[in-house]
Amino acid sequence: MKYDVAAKWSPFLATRERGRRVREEIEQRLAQLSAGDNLVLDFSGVEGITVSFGDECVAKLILARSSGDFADRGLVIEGANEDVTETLEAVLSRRKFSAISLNSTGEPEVLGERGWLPATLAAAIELRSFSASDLAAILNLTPQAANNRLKMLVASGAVARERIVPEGGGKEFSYRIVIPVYA
Amino acid sequence: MAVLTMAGRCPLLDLANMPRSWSPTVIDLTDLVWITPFEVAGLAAIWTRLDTTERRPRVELPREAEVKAYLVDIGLDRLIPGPWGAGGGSRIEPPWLPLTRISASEEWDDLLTVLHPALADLLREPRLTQLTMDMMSELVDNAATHGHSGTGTFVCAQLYTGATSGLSPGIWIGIADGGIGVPDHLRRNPKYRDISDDRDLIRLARQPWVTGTTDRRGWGLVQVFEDATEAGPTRLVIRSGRAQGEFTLRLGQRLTARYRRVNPLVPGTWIHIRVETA
Repeated sequence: MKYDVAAKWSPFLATRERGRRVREEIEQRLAQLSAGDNLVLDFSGVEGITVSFGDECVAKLILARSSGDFADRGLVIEGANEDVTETLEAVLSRRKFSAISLNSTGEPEVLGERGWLPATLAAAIELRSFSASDLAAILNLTPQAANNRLKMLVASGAVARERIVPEGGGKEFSYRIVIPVYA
Repeated sequence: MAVLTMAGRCPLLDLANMPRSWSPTVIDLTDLVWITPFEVAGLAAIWTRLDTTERRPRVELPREAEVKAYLVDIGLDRLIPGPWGAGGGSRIEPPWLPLTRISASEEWDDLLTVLHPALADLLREPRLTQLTMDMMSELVDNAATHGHSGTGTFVCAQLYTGATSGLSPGIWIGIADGGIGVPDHLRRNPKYRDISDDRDLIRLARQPWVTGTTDRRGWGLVQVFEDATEAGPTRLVIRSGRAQGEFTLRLGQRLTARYRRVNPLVPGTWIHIRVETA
């Protein structure tokens, strides 16, 4: 599903209040998705956003995902021009968050805090559907380190997390890449 | 009778001209010579705050026809009733943004669809346009949200080419509200509640993560300073409560700041920005 920001609102998005209203509408769209689906935030036609708008809209969506909201579905950005990308970089970096933006060929790029996220994203793309221990094995990490990375990867919107009940009982999560070109 | 006399050049911007009260019964503009967007927005906020509380002051209009014409061009006649006459048509370049009242922050988002292309046409410099709009947007959003009151937020802006004004080319912006003010807004946060000197709170306001809200935010003013530095050289004045911060921002140089006491207490927040574009 695609959410066309400029068509729905306007080419210039400035205030926190507007950011809050756009975010709430995006959350409604996310709620309509099934587990494993993704929502593409299309910023084509948006000429500029402020840091307050970016923080209130996009950074708070990532914040909610890091708390587990809509973690079983994906969220990516596309069509952001240089100015919008720069502003989103700034707001996400300040909060030490990351989001995924698709470039003109549909390839994912990390916005905001990078660190080990690009390498983790590349591993997730290779695995497509996996468990934390699969990721730990491919990246040679401890289970705890793999879980920490997955938390950030899920928050970024690149990966959806679903709870499964393994044969032996207990609880476990499975992860699936939900970036459109790989999903 | 309390009289607020605005005479000569930049009468509100100059702290030497502070009146005894911001609640005058008469606003005397008779000997006004030259006025900036800061004065226009500040005057609009003063007048509206009194008007909405049924203490509407009498306004004596400028004697000088050219000055009166400029006040009409910038839109004060639509706010303050008086014998403005046919008005308008001053020799100064027409204001890029005439006096505009924002009652709710999202009105600004809607205005941007017109303002941004208009400024882009005038400046012909996309980056400077973006920086200017970003600065104004953050400040108007702050004013309309944290400084929200029955007065509203007033904003106006003038682009000087220097052709008629004799000034060096630049963008002058004035933003004023009649709200709680920066110092008392920050005191809503328990971390800053016990800071008694308003100058310290104006100083704090431009630091990251400093906010009067319970939310984790406080980057708006930081961004304004970054944008003003890149766009500039820029002079920025924040006057609120009992303090004023004056800043000079220039790319590649350390910011210079001066914090001064203001008396009487300013009811709200008034901002002056002058970006040199030469």
